[in-house]
Order: sequence, then C-alpha cells, then structure tokens
Amino acid sequence: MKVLETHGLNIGYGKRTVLSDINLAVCKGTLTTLLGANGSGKSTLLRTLAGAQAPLGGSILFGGLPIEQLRRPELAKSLAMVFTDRTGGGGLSVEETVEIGRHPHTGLFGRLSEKDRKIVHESIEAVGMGGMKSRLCGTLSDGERQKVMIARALAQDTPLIILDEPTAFLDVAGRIEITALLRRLADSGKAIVLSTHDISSAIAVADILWIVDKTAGRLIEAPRDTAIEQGLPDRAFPGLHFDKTSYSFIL
Amino acid sequence: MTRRSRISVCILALAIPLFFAFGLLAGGVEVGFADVIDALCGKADTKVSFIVVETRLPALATALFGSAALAVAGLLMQTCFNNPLAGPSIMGISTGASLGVAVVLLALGGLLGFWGRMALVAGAFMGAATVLAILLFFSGFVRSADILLIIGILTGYLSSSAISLLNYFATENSVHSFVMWGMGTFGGVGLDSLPLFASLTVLFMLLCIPYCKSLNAMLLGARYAESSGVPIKRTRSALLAISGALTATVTAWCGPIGFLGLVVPHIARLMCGTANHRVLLPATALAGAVLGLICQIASVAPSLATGAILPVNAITPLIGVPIIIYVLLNRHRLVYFS
Repeated sequence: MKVLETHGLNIGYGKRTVLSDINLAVCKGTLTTLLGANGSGKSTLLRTLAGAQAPLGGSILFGGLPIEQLRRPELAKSLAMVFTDRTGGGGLSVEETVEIGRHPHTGLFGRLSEKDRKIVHESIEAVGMGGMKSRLCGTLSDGERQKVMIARALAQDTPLIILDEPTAFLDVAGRIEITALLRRLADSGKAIVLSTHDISSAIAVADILWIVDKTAGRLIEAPRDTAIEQGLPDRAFPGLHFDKTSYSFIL
Repeated sequence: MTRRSRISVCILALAIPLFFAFGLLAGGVEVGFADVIDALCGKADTKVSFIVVETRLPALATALFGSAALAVAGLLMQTCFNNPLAGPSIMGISTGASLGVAVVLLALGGLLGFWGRMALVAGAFMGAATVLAILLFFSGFVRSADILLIIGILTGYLSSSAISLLNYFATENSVHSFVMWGMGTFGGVGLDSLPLFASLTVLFMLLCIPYCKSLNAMLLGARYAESSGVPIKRTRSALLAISGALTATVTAWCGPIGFLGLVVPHIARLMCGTANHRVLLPATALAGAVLGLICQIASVAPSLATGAILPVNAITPLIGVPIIIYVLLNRHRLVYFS
C-alpha cells in the first residue's frame, strides 16, 4: 500500500532545478535509504516531500491526496520527521517531549486521552528510554536525545517517518542501535525513508534504494538487491565503486 | 505536574495575598491593620480611605496585573525566539510605545489633563503597534528567529533615535513629562481606570492558554514544531501580537517597565524546574505578580523616612540583573535553553 508517491516532481530553488522528473512511491513496511553525495539534493528532496519547501513542478501525493490540499496538522498525521540537528527543549522531560508527537491528534488545549498516553508510553519503550522518561532532555547524551526524537515521531503515529541523517552526531554503537531500531519499525508496518552518511549499515537494512545521480540530475529508485546487482550505487558517488561483499564504497 | 512545580505554584499563589496585604500597610503615611480593614469596608475617615482605597490599592493591583502581563509577554518572546534574553524591552516594543508617548507629549507641550492622559495611552498603543506591525511583517517571510530578534533590536534603536530627535526639539515641560513617564510607575492607574487595565491584561493573558501546546512544540525548534503540525509563521505572528498587546497595555499606563518581562520567566523556570508551558505560563504570571508587588512595596518603602517614592525602573534592575547573570553563567547546567 502506497503512503507517498511523486509524479514528475521537480525540486530546487527559484529558477535552479536540482533534480527533475522524480517518480517515487513509498509503501508500508519498507525501509528506503536515500544515497547521494553532499550537495546532490538529498535534503532538498526530503524538505520538499515534507512540505517545508514548495516543489518547482510535478505532484506529491499522501495517501492519494495532493500535498497542497493538506493543512499543516493534517500533514502531521501523514508524515513525521526526524532531523539531524540538535534540538532545543532541554527543559522538557523525555515524556513531555514525546507527548508533543500526539499534538496533531489532540484538541485545542492538547489534553491527552488514555489512548494517547498509552501510545506515548509504547513509543518511549520502543526506543529503550522507558527508564528515563522523567529525565529532562537537556541532561541526556546526543544519542539518547535522538532516540527521544524518534520516539516523538513514533508517537505521532504516522504511516511514514522520514529521517534526515539522524545518526550524524552519534558514535558507532548509537548508529547501529538506531539503524536496527528503524529496521524493526519497518518490519512492524511503518514506511521509513532514511538519508544517512552511515552508508554500509543503511544499505544493509534497506528494502529500497533511492540513488541521486548528480551527474544526470535525476533520482533512481530500485529494490536494494537489484540496485546492487546493476551497480547503481556507484552513480551516487562518481569515482567510487560499491563492493557487494563488504557493503562499502572503495576507490 | 511534578511535586516541585506544584509546591512552587502554591508558594507563589500564597505569596500574592501576603504581599498585597503588606503593601496596603506600607507607605509614606503610617496606616495600621485595623485602619486598612476599616478603609476596605468603607468605615474609615476620608484621609485613610483616600490613602488605602484610592492610592495604595490601585497601585498594588496595577503592579500585580501589570507585572504578570509583562512576565507572560517575556515568556512568549523567549520561546518564540528561543532566546533567554528576549523580552518586551529588548524587542523594541517598549521603545515603540515610548516613541508614541514622546510624540503625544511633544504635541501637548507636557500638559496632561484627562484627555491628555488618554492621548498618552493611545500614543503608547500606536507606538507599540507600529513596532509590532514591523515585526509581524518580517515574521511573515523570515524563518530564522535569530534574524527576527535582531530586526526587533534594530527597530528599538530606530525608535530611540526618533525619541532623541523629538526631545531635542521639545519644550522643557515636554521633556520633563517624558522623563517622569519613562521612569515607570504603578501609581498611574486610578481607581476609575483599574477595571479596564485589569480586564485588558487578564484577557490578553487568557488568550495564551490555547497556545501552550504550540509553545511546547516550538521549544524543539521551528522545524520540529512544523513537523508536529504547528503552522509556525501563523502561530509566531499570533504570539507576537499577544505579547505586543500585553506590553502596550502596561507601557501605556505605567511607562516602560524594564527587566520584569526578561527576568520573571527565568525565576519561574528555576522554581518549577521545567520549561513545560502548561506549568510555566501560570507560574510566570504568578511570579510576575509577586515580583511586581515586591517592586511596588520597595518603591514606596523609603517614603516613610524620606517622603520620596522611588521609580520602579530604579528597583527592577537590582532584582533582575543578578538573576540574569546567574542564568547566563549557568546556562548549560540549567539546561532550559539547551
């Protein structure tokens, strides 16, 4: 079941097109990894898909509805985002931060129902932060804080979660832990789109690869095994070769 | 709400009637507790009744509502701009109101009857509204809260420059009236204007309540707030409009009161140990009211010995500056803005 599709999507800034004629589909229960060199338009694509930036052309559909027809609170019920940057909110507890994920589902005053509280509790448990829910976020490590932001995205209970380099400031253990968590979420039925520089583990857990071919100015979508078989990851980083056995790029 | 937050809110709520009662006793003329009760029941003689009911009571009520309003305005701005130093006086709104007052005083030559005072209030509103309109105009397309904050500071400088020019060309009377107004006082609201002043400040503070949810999301940053369904530009504009209205109301009647809007939200955070606006908003309003009452008592306390009443703006920095320095030096340990 498709949760997101694009048709003939062009993205960029003003008159400068970064990528054109993008035709994608994201289905439930899949983990998609976005590969591309720095400056190839990965973040521009994710921002456009999230409605934070207007497309230059084409269409984006969430559950069959054009993104222009969705107001911000409605869009927040279709898509949750996790960003790379360190967040504020150090004075909120873990639980209070994750509760923000329920905002699109609550009324004017944000009062949580029993169901909302249960979802918040389950989201905190899912990222392994159950023992820290009363801790202020400002006292957590970067890795723990990123887990809280993923729990917030989970609590938003959207069919699609997009993560823009969520492991950028984490150590190896933190990266592996979060990548494994994302795989589990995809297995539980969520659609996950992930952009990361931790390429090896991201490819290892992916179902689908989106590869930005910067030279051609277009985006290629293919199932992971097919993409690797056809050597498509090489197009993301010209001059490098993707080694099928070690799942890493070599010169 | 944590135990610490509950206790803090209770302490603040209990402190208000205590300081209010103490404030009715404090002043240049000694009035006993029994006289105060008599005056409030309408049984005291004219002189005591005038002192308690027509002078001290409105001044204390103005300090209570006005300081609470400024504190809430400061909280909204600090969250909107994600900056611990944002506040009504920093963002140029108070200065805008001062410019409006300076224009009125120059036009009237410093003479203030009833209509002159009403013109002063209108001038302050117009000045604050002009600065607010500039901020709202930029907030429509500027996404960065830092840039918006800088625009607010620069607008404040422009207003100050215009005030200096007006003062240069003004008569001696006008300059004197403007300087006196600029010192700030909670004694400028009479018993007749108090219901209007209190209603406006309470109304604008109540308008903030539905925004608690958005304010909490904004603590995570604009991108996360948007991702959580907050229409960030519209929400920020609405919050700036409310904080501008709160500041304009207080500045119009009391003059530009510095530091309260900046410092009280920090006191509330330190006391409650949280940045959650469901707790922080009422705690900030209560802490503002308490601090306002303390400032009012401190301003009239020397009058018993010297006959002089200190301007409020001479007292607020004494309380505000040490707290701000403490917060800035311990910014990382306190974690509220990390």
